[in-house]
Amino acid sequence: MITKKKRAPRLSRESQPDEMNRTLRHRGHLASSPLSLPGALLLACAVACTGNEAPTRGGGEQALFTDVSIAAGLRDDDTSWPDGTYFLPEIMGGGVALLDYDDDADLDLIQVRFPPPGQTAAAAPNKLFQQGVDGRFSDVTDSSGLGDPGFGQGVAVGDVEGDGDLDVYFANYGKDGFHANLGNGRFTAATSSAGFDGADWSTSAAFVDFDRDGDLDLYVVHYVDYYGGVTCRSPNGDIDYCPPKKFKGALDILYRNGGNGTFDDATGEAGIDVAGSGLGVACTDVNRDGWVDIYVANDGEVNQLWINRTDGSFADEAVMRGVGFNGSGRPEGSMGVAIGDVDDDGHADVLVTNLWNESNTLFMGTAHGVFADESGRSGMAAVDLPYTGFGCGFFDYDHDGDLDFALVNGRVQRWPPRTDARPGQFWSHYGEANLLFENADSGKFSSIRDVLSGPFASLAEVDRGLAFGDIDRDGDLDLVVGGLNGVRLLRNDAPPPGSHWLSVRALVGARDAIGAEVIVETGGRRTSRLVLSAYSYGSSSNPRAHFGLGENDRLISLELRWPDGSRERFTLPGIDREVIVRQGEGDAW
Amino acid sequence: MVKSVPPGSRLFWLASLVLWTVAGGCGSPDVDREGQLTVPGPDLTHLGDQRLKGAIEAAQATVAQRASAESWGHLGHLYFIHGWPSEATDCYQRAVDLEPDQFRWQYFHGRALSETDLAGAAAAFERAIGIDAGYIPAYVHGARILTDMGQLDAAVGYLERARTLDPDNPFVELGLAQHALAAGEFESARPHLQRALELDADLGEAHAALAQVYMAQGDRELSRRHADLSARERQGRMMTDPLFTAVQQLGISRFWLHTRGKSRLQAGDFAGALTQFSLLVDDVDQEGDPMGWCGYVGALLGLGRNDEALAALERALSEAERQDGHSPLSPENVRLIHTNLGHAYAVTARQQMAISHLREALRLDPASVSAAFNLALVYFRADSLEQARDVLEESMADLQGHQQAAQLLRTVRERTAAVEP
Repeated sequence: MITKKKRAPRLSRESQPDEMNRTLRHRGHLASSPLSLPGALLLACAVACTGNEAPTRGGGEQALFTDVSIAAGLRDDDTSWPDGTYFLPEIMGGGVALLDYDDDADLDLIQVRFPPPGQTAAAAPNKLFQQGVDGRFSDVTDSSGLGDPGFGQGVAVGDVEGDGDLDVYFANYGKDGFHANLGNGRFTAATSSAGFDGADWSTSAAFVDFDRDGDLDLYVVHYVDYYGGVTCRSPNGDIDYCPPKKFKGALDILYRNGGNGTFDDATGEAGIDVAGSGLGVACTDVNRDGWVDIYVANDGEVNQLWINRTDGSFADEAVMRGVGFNGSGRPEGSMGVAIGDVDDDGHADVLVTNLWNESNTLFMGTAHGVFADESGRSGMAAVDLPYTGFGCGFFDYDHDGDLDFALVNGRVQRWPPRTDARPGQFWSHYGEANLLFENADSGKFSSIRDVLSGPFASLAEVDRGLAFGDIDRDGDLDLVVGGLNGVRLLRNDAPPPGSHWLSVRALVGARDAIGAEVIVETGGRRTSRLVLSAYSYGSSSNPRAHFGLGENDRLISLELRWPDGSRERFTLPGIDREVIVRQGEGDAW
Repeated sequence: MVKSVPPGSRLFWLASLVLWTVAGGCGSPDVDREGQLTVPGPDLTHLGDQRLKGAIEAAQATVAQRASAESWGHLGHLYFIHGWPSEATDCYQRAVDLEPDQFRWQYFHGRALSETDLAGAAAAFERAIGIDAGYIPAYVHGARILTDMGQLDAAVGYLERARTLDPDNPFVELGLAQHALAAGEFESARPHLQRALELDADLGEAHAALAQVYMAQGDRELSRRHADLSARERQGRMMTDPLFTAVQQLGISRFWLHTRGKSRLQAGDFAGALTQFSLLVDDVDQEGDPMGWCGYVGALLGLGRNDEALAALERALSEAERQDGHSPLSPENVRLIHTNLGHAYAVTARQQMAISHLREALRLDPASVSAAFNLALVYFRADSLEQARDVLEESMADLQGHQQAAQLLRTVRERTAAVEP
């Protein structure tokens, strides 16, 4: 169960009176009711409505994150996993997703799964865990009908019909799976009927309204045209997993939502015509023209930045804008992607996670419409150089107002074993610790030592997926990690007493306004966050825009830049809560 | 052919002897508290590559008996290029301790540390440059380390010094440009990039950076042009580094044999490629490493030893077919075997066999350019012009840009038109 043991004054889930829980059950109704006053802000109180209650934190080096996976019912303590067979897909998954599939206001969890090595025919359906009122998770895979049986790699979540129910797309090695949310806690498999017919190796996917017709389309990233039986070797001659360059890169697919529950393949029409070994994807309006663009991280090849030409087609401008290669002009092992404004200069910055000995690459957005590789200047490269990064994301874990960075690691090439690695001797050659970076000053990062970041960064595992969301609804962002043999839930205990926060759910109609930008001004500082669910690697996060406000207890303004480029300003009566804003209900400007 | 090298074999002792001879010198033994020499090394228990295992054990034995800087350095080299940088670092440190004024030990110490300890690597490169200020790769690698550490001014300082020593090095110009770009100084970057391209017009990295410069300056057309050029030109070429190149030649694992064989094949050095691939093919008998076959046959064909190539290919194919559909070879490699068999039979004037294998290759991969072209060529040479034309026209989409195929199709069409009523 997820409770903040170090925050005595706060109500824990278990200790909340029944009245509080009943209030929570009604929150959804409140959020979806129409506004009575134009421009008014629809408010929704967060779980405990604790206002400025100061959380306490013990002295000394208390861990910032606590692993509550077992207590929450997400896994047992068995960490073993069969030895690998050098079948490449067995080391590339799996993602995780945080979503409120049953619209009960708390986050549920999807674990993307795949068969154990050597048992490719074994059933390993993905799992859906429903969060209960006590904060524990129950496996509702069977009853929900979401147990996609494919060889899972990644997952995307989006409301494709705009009915307020979140649908799920599984990116698989082999045929993908799409499951429509029926709104009654059940899903129905609708892959073929919805028009999804791809059978390539998919790794990540992103729901995005690229044509601004009001419904969510889908971009599916494909990796390589893989076949088994190829023997590859590490420098010492041992058999190892093959690098992607052994195979042909595959062409991604862009599906256009027809608005009637079906999709058609718009890849060719959109000019998506360059194959690549794609792994990560994130969508945002890079050139700020009001049309969303698509960034794809390609493993060992030039990345792609598909700039939306506003006519249904795209042009790749990754090299032109400096995000195709690293600053040395070379392709890297690009896996995961994070996007956010880490220096509060109004320009989105991009981070791509890479192979060991490459360092992760931080592309800082500039006023010139191009990016500059500031990996070294950021202070991260000196730390992350020996690691192989996958899932990642920017988030303000400590509520100090700027975007910090977390990433999960795990090699794809054999390496001298780590004696403390899980989940077994074979995987000790691939296991690595994860990393947490504190944004110390406008994009200058310092690493948080593993003793402080706790079990998130102290265990050597082969992790791939990483998703962000306020799972225990205490105002800060918790983490879910997807690895070879299961998921881990890391509760955030980091924000110091007295720190403030705000969580904004931006809606277009009944669905999340994927691609919107939320800007708050407080204490003389303007800070923006993107409404995104698809970033990281093969994972889907809760798309709430989350702001740490530090000691600032007064918000000056809340602005929305909607996916269509229009802007609205909202009035906000308070902070330390989750608010819901809808397009068309603010003051346009 | 040489089998793998078990301890006690002639090759094992030969390798030991060579290493012993190379080692030379009489350094003081490095001993632990019990008076035993401590030789760092990975756990070789599960190492499958017996050739490498033998070489490492021989080098370890050499160090244990005559701990010279040379012997430590050699062991460090073996560790470094075979994927054990931490152990390599320890060995290079011992070499540095014994010969602190030797540039190469400091340099390789820096190279190995680059994978594990940036601050240590930076210090090692600084010491190396202090010993020999003329070796450009030390500056470039040192600058990279300093950049990763965020010490940008110091990195630029290294590159400026390198440019003074070697004004015609495109990689140094590229490095200076990239630092300007990282600082958002696009106009400052441009002359460095233009100079880099003057020195090496094919430097894809410089084209990529110029695309960025022109984009920042609002010239989308030039930006697009250089972005396109960056995609066409070769990326990832490395600066000339004679010291490191020599060390790479010590790579004896299957990985290195394959890498080197492939490289020599691409360079047209068929005899050199055959030497490397012969060792890999030999391993097939013991552990089923099929990846050497294609290269081995390619080298034989390149040398004109077609009958041997044919025998090897037929053997590889029967191995693949013997596995009841569970071939250790990928479909791509099976297709390649059929293509090569077709080519080899064509060369030896056995046309029907050639056609049969090329047809099979094309069935396995209808988009195979080499299979389609070679099949058309065989038909053409057999005067089966209509079949040649059909093959070329069916594969037209895949043969786009294939000049020889286009020429062949023109010729075939002319001749078939001439004979048709």
